[in-house]
Amino acid sequence: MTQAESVWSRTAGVASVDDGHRVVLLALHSAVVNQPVILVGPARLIWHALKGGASPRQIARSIMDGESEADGRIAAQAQEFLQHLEDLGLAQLRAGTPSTTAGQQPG
Amino acid sequence: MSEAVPLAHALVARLAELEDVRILFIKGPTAVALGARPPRPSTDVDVLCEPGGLERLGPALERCGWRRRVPESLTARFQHASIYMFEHSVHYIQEEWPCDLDIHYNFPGFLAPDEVVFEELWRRGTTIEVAHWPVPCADFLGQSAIVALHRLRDGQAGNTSPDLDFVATSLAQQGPTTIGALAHLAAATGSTETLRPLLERLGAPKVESAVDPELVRRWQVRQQNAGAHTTSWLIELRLRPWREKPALVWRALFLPPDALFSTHVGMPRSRRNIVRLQLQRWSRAVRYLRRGIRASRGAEERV
Repeated sequence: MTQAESVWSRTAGVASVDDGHRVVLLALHSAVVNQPVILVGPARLIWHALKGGASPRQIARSIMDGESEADGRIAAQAQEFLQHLEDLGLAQLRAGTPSTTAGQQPG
Repeated sequence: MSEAVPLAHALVARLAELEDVRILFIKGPTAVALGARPPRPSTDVDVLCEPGGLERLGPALERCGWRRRVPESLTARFQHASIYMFEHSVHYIQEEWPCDLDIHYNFPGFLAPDEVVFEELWRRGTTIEVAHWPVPCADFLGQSAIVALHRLRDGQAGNTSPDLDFVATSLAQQGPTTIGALAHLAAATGSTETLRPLLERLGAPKVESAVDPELVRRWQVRQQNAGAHTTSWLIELRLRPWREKPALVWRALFLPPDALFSTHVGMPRSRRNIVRLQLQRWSRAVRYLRRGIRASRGAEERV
């Protein structure tokens, strides 16, 4: 499996509220629920990119502007953040086909 | 934090599901979504829990850091006044969540037995999405009855209020079939008398139902006079034996700090704040004194 075939997506069992400026998430997988997680700025954009599944490249692109696209640091930071979401039980990496609309619509 | 209330809905729905407890969300965002309440932000989460379900749902909440807020009435163990207060719920708070959970084991104004009321509301319940999470809730008719009862339980406010007007308008717009269904729901849940102002306003058909007249009398005492804590203390004081009255008066005047601060979570427990809260209580007591005396007389009539 190549890196391009890896897809990040939201895990099931997460409640969320997005007021247009920040998204607040609550993982409800288990009987002991932790505190909500607040995502703003690029973190919020990444959350939206995860809807339906997105490749690491698509996710990095969702937070890049034209000038920063060539900068590998953005992709690395996005990857680090995704792993953090995975640790929190909010995102998962799986094999699959990325959504063609990843990062385009809030939800 | 406007997100707290919707997320808390999802949290309670999930815990109830894990504990296999049937619940119905009432009032708040679910009532707004179903058109039974005017849109406005909620500050707490109201849940109607199946009879006996709180014994499982409560510990589940506590495992997530929520704890019971001790109500003033329980700390004083009102033996007599409690029947007029229609105690109906347990409040849960969590320091890091800026909203309360109000877990109802019944809803004042539904005078049929708790299990009958819950089954009737559950039978016709529905599910809506709150915080992208499916939550079970009372349907439009159930929510309408609940919103109306919530307003009608304080007779001092009269039979009109923005919420009651909104419910009446919404029901009227649905037409006679819906209004007829409301009359049947009222009969099934023992709320024909308590919802009478709304039913009459809508021209609802009369549906026979048997309700204990003593419960209706208690509702009327509560509705007309007994909405405030002061009245509960005065009812209790009037009905307690003479030998118990001095201790009760002392307790009413000087509430223990735990009870005082139970409704002021986060306030530092300083001597200054204790004095401040006691003064606030006394000021409220003076304001509601006449109403309380009237209520205690009303309560005494049947003892």
